[in-house]
Amino acid sequence: MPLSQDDHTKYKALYLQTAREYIKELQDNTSVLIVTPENISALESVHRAAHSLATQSTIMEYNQIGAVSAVMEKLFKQSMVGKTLFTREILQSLLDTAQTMSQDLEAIDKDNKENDLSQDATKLQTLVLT
Amino acid sequence: MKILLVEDDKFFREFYSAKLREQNAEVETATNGEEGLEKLQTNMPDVILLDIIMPKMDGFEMLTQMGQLQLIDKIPVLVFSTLGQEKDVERARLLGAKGYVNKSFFDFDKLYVRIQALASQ
Repeated sequence: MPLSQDDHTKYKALYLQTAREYIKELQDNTSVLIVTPENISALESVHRAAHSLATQSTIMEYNQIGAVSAVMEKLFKQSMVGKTLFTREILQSLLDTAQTMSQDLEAIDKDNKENDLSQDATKLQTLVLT
Repeated sequence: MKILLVEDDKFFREFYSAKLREQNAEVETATNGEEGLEKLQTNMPDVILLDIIMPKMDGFEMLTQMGQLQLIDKIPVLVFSTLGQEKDVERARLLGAKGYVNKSFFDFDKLYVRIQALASQ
């Protein structure tokens, strides 16, 4: 069920604040993983950040960023259970995607419209095991 | 009605707290399972809304410890889930949770009816 317009307006600033914090957490800890891929704490942090960003974006109906972060969450989960080994190339791709997500938040803030992130989602989706 | 909301995500914590308070519920919050258990020592709620994925102590561990403290049969727990967490929900049920709420698909009226029903059991 969509949020009422009133709730959407009321909670947009909180959404943007927390979403920016999660993207920073994603960027910081993905950078840690590039140097130390075995860092479990960094992996758990990026998984939680992607999960939180996906769910709060979905409830606010920011579906582009919601879809990309949901794919990220799956990827991090796969890595946590040992099904995916992150290469430097994959981690760099995740960092690039975090940057486009950050730009998306600016578009939401400025115009209340999202950028098209479907290419980023499709690119990451190819790494998700079925 | 007293509700303990255990949720690490600031957005959902503030959002659900505000909605529940609009219904005159008394809401306590905790940001992880460890804090949630501490709150139970001083203030017993009628219902607990519990997130699963949290830092320090996740929802599964909090449910496990509530079982060991013989609290799981005394306070009904609803876990927050999202799509794709079906296995997590099943695991939470086995640990004593009474049900789940999909927090991405917001239907507050429905949720509040469930909370009231659980609190009156």
